[in-house]
Amino acid sequence: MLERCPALLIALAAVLAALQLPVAAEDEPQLDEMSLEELSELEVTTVSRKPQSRWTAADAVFVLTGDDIRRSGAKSIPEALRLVPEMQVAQIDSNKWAIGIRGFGSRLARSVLVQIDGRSVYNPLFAGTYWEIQDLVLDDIDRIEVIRGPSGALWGANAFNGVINIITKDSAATQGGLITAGGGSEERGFGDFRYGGSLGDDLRYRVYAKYLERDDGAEPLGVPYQDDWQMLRGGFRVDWRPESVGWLTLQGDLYDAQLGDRVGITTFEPPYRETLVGNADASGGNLLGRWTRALSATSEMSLQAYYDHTFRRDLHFREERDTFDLDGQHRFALPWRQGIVWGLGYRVTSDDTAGVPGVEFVPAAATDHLASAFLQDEIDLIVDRLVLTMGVKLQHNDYSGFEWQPNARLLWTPVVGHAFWGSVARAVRAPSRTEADVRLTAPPELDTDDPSECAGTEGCVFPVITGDEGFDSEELIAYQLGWRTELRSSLFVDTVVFYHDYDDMLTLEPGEMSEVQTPPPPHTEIEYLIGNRGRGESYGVSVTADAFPTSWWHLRASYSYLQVHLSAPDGITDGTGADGSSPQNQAFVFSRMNLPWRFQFDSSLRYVDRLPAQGIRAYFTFDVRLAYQVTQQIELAAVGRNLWDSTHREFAGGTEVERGAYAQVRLQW
Amino acid sequence: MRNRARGKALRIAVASAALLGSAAALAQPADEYRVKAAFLYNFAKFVEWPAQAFARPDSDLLLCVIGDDPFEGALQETVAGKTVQDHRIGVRHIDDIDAAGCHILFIGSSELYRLRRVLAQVANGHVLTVGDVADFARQGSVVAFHVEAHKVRFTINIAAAEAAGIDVSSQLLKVAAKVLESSDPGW
Repeated sequence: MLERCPALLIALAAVLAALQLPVAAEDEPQLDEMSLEELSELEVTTVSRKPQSRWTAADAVFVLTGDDIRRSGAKSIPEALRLVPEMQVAQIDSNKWAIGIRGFGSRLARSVLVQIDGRSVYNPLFAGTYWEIQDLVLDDIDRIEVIRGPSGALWGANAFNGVINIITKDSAATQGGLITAGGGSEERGFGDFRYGGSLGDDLRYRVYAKYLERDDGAEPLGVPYQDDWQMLRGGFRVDWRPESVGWLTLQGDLYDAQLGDRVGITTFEPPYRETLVGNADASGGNLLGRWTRALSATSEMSLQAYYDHTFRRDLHFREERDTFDLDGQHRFALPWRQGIVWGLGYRVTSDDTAGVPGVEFVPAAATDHLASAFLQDEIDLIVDRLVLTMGVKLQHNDYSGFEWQPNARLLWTPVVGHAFWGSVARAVRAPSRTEADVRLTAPPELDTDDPSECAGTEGCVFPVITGDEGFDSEELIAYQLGWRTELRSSLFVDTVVFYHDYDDMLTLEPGEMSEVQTPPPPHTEIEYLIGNRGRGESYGVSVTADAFPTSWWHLRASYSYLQVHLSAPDGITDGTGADGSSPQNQAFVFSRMNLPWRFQFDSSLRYVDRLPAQGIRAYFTFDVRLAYQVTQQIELAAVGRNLWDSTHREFAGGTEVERGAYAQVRLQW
Repeated sequence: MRNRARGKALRIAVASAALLGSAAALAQPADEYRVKAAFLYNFAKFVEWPAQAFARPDSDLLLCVIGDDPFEGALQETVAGKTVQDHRIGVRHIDDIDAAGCHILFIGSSELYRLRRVLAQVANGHVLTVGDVADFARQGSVVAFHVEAHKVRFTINIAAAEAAGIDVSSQLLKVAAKVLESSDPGW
């Protein structure tokens, strides 16, 4: 740990000062008069200037490039997502994150759909994503596309407040070897290995292995927590492009993790509460195949199938799951400048669960089916000026039956350098097995004067959160307006305003009290039924600016304002917890500099507003990265993270994030 | 208390110094795609097309970009008003794979998925294909760029040049980081 913060900061300041050598300003070189040899010796910046893919989207799309991820110093996907506008990323403990888009941050990010190369990693038991096990060799990530706001029409259920698409590089782009290794105070040790090669004319492949070990967070009040963890994973990807067949991709991963954990469980005899401390185990694997084929210059089809196995044994609960998914997509052009995309999908997922007394699913094992179809039409109403996109997705799930999710969006580019867009969309978050089948017993309330006795006159009453087969989908109708502008060739501004209208949101409603025999001994319980009685709204604005003051310097600044108001009728509790757990104000600034002598200096500063429901105060964090390209093959980097405070808390119920630093060497050949 | 205040002031100072940097100009690296545009102009000078590649002796030499255009105008700026071998240089952006009339075809990473079709389309058409992904030369483009230690370098595939029916000057071969004798020599 870096206890001696002033020393570190002074050292940093010294490094900064040393780097800021005043060099006489040079005129922009006349490139077109240079010889081939001179051009070959010229140092270049490789920043992608215009955010191409998000420039012409009628959606609040944000793209995090592979370079963005590398230069942020992030060592995991959740950490990389911290520099995305309107994303809420709070670290609960060393191996858990609460993530949300436009608020609603929660341990499992229930209202956000997450996909890796088209494979959904959304867990349908608890409705959410186990972020800690979603990992890759970060250098192999091509980009992460974050779509804020519902995109139900294309992505289907649970693309509620947003979608995160993680897309890895084509094998052709990862030829050769790569080794990244390092360690530090929080990143105790990590190593990535990847090798890409070819077989014959048309086949490119890569294989990888990755290991990481992370330190635990700071323990509040000396409570033992042990949230340190380690994970080993490996995988491959093959891209085969035989002329006659198109493009075939086969990829797969295997992983195994030990995750330090601390959970409180309910006991049915005094003292009614017990804390378990130990390791959770998570392991799994997946195999995905995709076939893409161009049918003509304007038409293309793709077929994708995957199998995914996950196993997780927490200290109080175990889940094993197998998922098989099949998707087909076809795009083609129609007269009057129309582009059609349509597709069909089918998924079957089977689980088997077991828990300690008080944590159970009824039934313990289940198999669920999901069928879907979608159609989207993009019409160039006025060439290069006005594009209308309309789409609808129809889906059938075993809990709420048929769901339809339509949307319409309009993109208007009246003059060069300005794009305006607007959209209206309906999205649903389909019920998960938790809302239908869970039985979760909480400990009884204890007498504040005598903690060995239960509070109240009825003796010990155990609240039981009880799922309801009748639980329906949560519904959202979203209205968005956006404006993107290129103020000068070196300044881009992206502005989004949104209003979300929520209905049928998750609530907990007290039911009947009853005497029960199981689990023993006989005791009194009160049911809290899961229902759809909540409603509310959220609205906000987000502004992100990208500036390129010189050819070697990239600055990005982003500010997001958010209001979330959810309510339930009297006597009923809002079950989403989003109200006081979504930051009202969030902002970040980052700076990327390509310095002389092949140095890179990158830094970022973030501000996150308080979360009253979590007891979290507003905080700043500050990260820096200094990298030196020693030779064409070797890069050295030193990264300091969370430098603002020695520790700070980001979410309730875990540990505190500690100031940390690591060093890494990256070898590429 | 004073210590804390001082600590905070120091942190703010360091953070703002790091974020804002210094206004002093450093030796400026050039923009990657402006350099690549200059390379493309140079390629036009060091490659010879047969007479039948031009409709008339004074027809434009057409520089095409297929798919996503990463140059953002730098290409037009670089070749504006320039001529090579009595041909004015024109720039055209194409989306479909019909590259008829192009003399130089720049193929960006957006074309990964249909590279073979793009290459097949221009085969024997006297087109200097320039890929923006290192692996493209192995797959059959005449030239492919890559960035190595912050410098733009390129690979030349001689077999592809011969198949395209264009002459690559020895000067160009000399500057190339790598020269491939055939498509896919294997690893």
